[in-house]
Amino acid sequence: MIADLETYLRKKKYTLGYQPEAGTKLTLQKALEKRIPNRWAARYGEIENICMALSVNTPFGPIQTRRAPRAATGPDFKKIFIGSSKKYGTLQEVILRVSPRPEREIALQIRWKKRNQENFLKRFLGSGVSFRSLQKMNCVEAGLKTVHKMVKETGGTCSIRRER
Amino acid sequence: MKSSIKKTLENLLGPSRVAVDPVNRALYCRDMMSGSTLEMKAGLHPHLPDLICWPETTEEVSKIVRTANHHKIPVIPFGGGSGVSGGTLPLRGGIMIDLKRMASLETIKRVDDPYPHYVATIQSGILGEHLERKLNERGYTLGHFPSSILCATLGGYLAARSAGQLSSRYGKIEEMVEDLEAVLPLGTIVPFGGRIKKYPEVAPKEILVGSEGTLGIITRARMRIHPMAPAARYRGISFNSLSSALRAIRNIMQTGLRPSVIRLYDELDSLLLKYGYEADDRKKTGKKFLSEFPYLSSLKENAFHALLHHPDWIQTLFQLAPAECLLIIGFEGDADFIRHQEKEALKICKERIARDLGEKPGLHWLKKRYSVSFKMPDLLEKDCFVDTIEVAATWDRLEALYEGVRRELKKQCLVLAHFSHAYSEGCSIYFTVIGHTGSARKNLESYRQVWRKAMGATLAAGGTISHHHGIGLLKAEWLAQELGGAMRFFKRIKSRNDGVREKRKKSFSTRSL
Repeated sequence: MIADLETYLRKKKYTLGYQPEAGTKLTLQKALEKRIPNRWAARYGEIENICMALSVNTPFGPIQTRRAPRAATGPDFKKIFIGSSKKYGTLQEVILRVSPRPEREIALQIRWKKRNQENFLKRFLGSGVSFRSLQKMNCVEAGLKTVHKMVKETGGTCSIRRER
Repeated sequence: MKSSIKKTLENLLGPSRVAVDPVNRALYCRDMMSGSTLEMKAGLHPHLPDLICWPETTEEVSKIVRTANHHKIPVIPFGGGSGVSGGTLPLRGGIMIDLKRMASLETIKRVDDPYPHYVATIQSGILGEHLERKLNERGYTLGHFPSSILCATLGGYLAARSAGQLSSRYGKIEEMVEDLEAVLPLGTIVPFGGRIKKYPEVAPKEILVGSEGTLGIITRARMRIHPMAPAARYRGISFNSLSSALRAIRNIMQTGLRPSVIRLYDELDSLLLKYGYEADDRKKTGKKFLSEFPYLSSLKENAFHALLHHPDWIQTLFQLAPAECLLIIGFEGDADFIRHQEKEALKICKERIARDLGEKPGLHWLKKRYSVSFKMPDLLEKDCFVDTIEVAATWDRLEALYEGVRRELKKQCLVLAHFSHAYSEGCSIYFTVIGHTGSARKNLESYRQVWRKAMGATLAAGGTISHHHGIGLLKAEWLAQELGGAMRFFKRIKSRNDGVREKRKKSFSTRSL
């Protein structure tokens, strides 16, 4: 279960960085087979980026993909196996990337008139501020001061919705 | 047989867009692999394509591919021809499809899934520099800056899984592409949102990106673009030891800082870089002086060649003497925010012994970042062999990989190295090898040996044999070792998609240079 894995990692000051929409009963195998999207993909990537290597049992025999940060050695077979729901083989073992647990998590709620939202979005995406998720209901978790500045300059109001 | 194909294609495209003359055939016989130059100097003849054509729409590409399929002729998609791995060499002749006439930036729009961002639909034959300029005019950037930006196409980037110099911030090309339109070997067009019939569970981009023209021809791509960053900062930092510098880079990437560029030069390469930008300040008076006295310049050349005959001396010297390693780090984005990020990064560096050299080394790198690649022809002219070997590994294997490759190659050639394209998981190493043997044939032989040793050392250390240059023909013989069991799967995808086994000019088989 992903929830169990995350609890275990958090105790050791790590996080998987994977927060699927589905809820707490999701297993890692199902998440990989169906390629369930990650709410925090903007910072940690989708499940196929969090998974660094895997071994599969295929009709051709076992395949173990190479553990490299990035490569240019043909198509990335890891990405073909993830999301293909057991069609090409059953997943045996995966290597997942864990990240340090964030010291502080802030969710902001920002409101503007629709015109200025576009303006803010362009400045925000060009600013380099690293964020975990950006949802249509205008929430963003990111570098505070800069965001406050950009919001003010585009005529919006910003308030902290949740802080941990 | 050939004339009937030529006639069919001329009817389809018009005679001005089909060529079989010797000049065109010679121009399209190679890419920028330095091994091809060495082969030509050693007297080996290149393979020539039979015919070159220039389609302007995806439908035309599909019809050309269908014609070739019908006559069982290999097809080679050609973008800028800037690859350094021999990816476009027409080993069995065939039809070269040059895609550069399909070069428009079509639409830019905002998309809200998975989070609000901007995407552009672009035809794959557009040159990197033209694409970047067109995006800049509208206030965006692709964020992809390989040193081949002046002579490479978007299709080429995608086929080879290329990386730009700012990949630490913007990612490699495979992280930027959202969807593809492509023509498959039998002529089927896969539109955006479509699926390859035999592999309906997989997004076509996962099969085609990195396939280097063996599984399909990419004609359009939908790429994630970014609003242009308002400001940029660069800095040089020097470290006493390579391992402490690598530790610092690892910390920087893993705490979540996103520098746009983070490049570490090893001791020898740092010295050359330093010499380079100090020489710039002295306005290169030395070089001008030498050119007026041909005897002195030939003496300098002979000294250089003598040095290359015993490359292990200078490299051992560097390992014994205390020498610095130079780190170039840069940030792009909101002005205040990047100042803050730079301060954080410096704090991390200062935890080890490090000296802040200010922004001059960074700005010097910025000015010369594309020119380094263009120095290779000079060395090839001087009868040396030179090439770049780029590999990657996760942090735990990185230093062993670096030491392993250098140990193998030390006796044969000069090895310069820098670490770039850093991620939180690992980093890539870019080796430049320069050697000299005295005869063209011996150069070629030594060159092949260098590659053999380097690839062997990389695989043994658990690294990947190519980070962004691709496999092409140059590294084909090691691909099976790299992929392991997946090689059979790859060959199966190819044989299932291809009508005839000989259709594609290249199979990732045991053909070596």
